[in-house]
Amino acid sequence: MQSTPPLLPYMPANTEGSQQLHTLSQLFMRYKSHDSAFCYRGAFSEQFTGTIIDISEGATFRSESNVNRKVSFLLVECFQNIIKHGENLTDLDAHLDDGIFTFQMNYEGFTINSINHILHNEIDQLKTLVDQVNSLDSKELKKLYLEQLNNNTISDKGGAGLGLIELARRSGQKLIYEFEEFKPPLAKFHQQVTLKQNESIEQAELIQNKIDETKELHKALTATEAFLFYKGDFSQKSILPLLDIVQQNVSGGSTLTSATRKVAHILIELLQNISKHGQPDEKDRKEGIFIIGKGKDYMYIQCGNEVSEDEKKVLEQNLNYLTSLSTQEIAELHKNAIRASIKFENKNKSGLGLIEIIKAAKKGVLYNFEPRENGKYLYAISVKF
Amino acid sequence: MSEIKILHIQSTDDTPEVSFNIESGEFLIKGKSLPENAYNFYCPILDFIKTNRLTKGIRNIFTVQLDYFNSSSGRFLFELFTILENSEYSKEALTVKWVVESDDELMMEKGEELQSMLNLNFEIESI
Repeated sequence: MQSTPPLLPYMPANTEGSQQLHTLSQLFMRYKSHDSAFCYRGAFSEQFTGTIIDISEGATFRSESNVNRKVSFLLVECFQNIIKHGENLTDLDAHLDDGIFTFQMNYEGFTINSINHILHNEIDQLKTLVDQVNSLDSKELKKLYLEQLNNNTISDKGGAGLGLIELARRSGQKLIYEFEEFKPPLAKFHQQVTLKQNESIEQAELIQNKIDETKELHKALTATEAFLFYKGDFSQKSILPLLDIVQQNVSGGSTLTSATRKVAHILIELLQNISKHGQPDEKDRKEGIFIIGKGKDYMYIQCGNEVSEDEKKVLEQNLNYLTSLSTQEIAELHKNAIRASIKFENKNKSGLGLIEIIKAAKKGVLYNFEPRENGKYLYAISVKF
Repeated sequence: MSEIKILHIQSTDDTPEVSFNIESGEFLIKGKSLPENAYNFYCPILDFIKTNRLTKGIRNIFTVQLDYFNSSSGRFLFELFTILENSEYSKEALTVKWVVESDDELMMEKGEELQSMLNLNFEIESI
């Protein structure tokens, strides 16, 4: 039988692929000290609201239930504000410059940043409202809130500025914002809402303007055609809600499509590979980072986590071998591995995961081990299909 | 009096619905199967099949309709089929129905792979 050419050439440096892994590595460095970071780029849909809360609950280890409730509340308010007041872009514009919604958790607190589109002629009104909200203390905010409730000056989009007032009230911090020019009649609205982790942290220390950082993240994700970025714990609780958002984005609804299933399949294997085999950090978390993106006729998932020198050796050897095989050889190996797996003593480490991943990477795979200062390596893998 | 032997496990976010009925010969695994610890989930299912004799004189149909499954679940599905393959029952008495949605390339591919590996009445049904 004639064997097909190797399926998965290791891509040399300076290719589009390795540049993409470069982004992953940069994001890993940037968010290394964070407990978690999440970013979604794309169309905002009402259905995401619940999913975003699930993700934040899985991603953040919030001990105080009071903080928990506040985080959930702020996420919902921020997200629904965008859905209510944001302008939808045409497909062409969206491809060029979609909105993003991102949150991150570190020792200081929880920060939500977003970029969305509004009508240019709404800027003045919105600016006045935010400035007014920011000028008030908590008592005054409450008063304004009650006034607005009774006032009934509901805008044609169904809001009364109540969302912004509530964001300021519940977060206890000033809202940070910026307007940016965009294709007329649209403009971009940057917003940041911050919540302190605990009262002992000084207010001044906490409020870091992350708008420029969010712009950079937006740029990096747009350049790599990524729609989802996540850094944090890779336990099942964290992974499952992420699948929902992938499903929504890829299939445009709640139905499962062939493409969605493929993404889910590869993502689950990649993340469970880390969750099962990765070494827990000092906080007993199995941490990693991933990005999912889609181009015109392909999708990709990139995933990274820290591994030891020994783990690197094993992984590298396995990957070098697996990527040297032809499509047929990998299919045969997969069958043999399944047959062998039922005889293994360790019933939860079948070794099938990596073979599944390489088998599913119909449009190529690349991987990289980047030395880190702590003597470990950032193991990064990109799977294209 | 013969006891009706039934195994029923409700689906969760990451495990499928399992409904096995020895008397009627209907066996169903349906949904998503991606538990981190597939061993814990599949152990009682394999035990149920190992300890209960299938009903003779009827066609026992194992319907597997999964949206997707992880590699460790795949390992246990294969073990389930291998138990059936090596059982005392004739090929005619046992059918595995692998049900896939018509546009689902991945589950189709998975079904074909298992079909090629097993000496069982293994039907792939596209819906």
